[in-house]
Amino acid sequence: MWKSVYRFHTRSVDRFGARGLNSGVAGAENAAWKLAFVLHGWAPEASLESYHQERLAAAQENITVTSGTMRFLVRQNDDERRARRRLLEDAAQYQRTGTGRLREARRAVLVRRLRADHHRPATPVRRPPAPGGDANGRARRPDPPAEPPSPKGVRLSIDTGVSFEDFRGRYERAVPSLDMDRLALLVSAQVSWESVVAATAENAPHGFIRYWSSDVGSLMRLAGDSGPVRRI
Amino acid sequence: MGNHTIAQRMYTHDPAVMLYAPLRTAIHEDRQGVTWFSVDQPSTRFASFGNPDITNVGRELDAKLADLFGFLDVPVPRHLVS
Repeated sequence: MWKSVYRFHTRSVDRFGARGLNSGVAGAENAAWKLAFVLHGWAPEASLESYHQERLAAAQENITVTSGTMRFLVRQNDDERRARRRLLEDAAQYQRTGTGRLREARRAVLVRRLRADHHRPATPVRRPPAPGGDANGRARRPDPPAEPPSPKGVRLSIDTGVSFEDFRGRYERAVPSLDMDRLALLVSAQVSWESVVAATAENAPHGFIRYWSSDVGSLMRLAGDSGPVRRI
Repeated sequence: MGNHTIAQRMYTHDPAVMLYAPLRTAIHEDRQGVTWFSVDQPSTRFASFGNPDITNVGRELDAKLADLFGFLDVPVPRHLVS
């Protein structure tokens, strides 16, 4: 028994295909007859372009299939290994299946699963963490901030310098409550937006209207909390 | 508190602005008996939608809030008008 390291490489180069021997032969055959046709004047020179189109497509298919096969052979984690084991066990079960439609159906399912396995994105190779870096050797990033980096709200808390009742009275006179009946009337009458703007300006002498308010303090006092609080 | 005709000018860009319109405000008293008025600075809330047209209306609300504080004879936070 022997063991060796097999390095798997894929390369796809624009306008030039340098792949394994098998596809290289197919490429040479493709180019040879096209060159011959053009040189003999049997086909326009532009037909040479089809070499690139056809062989690039072949190269890409080659890469997809061989990369998928390598990923199937060389699993990167336990989940992948378990998935492969299930697939192989089901394939063995298929071998024991008799003939007819059941066998055909099982075969179709196996092919679909194998194809899906081949086409799923490659799992990143995990490396042991390097000192001062993460598992992929990148420099360690600073810890994320406790809050997301979106613009933060700035809380304004102002010492009113007066009593709760005094400030509340002054505030509620400056910012009147919404004239809900009038607004409902405007909506039901389908008035122009200009009319809504005008009516709102009358309702909001300092630009603001109170939409609702709640005397939270009197409720919270039932729980033993002191201090008036009014949300407005 | 708020103003639906101003809210409309943001709503037209993104109806999600109604998350912050009208503004939430609170009048509250601490244990020392000091009465506070609290509100989040409008522009900093409306800027979170990432739309300059909305943010600009938010700044307009900042200015209106500063005017209201002036009228109520309470200190106007410096960054509200800068």
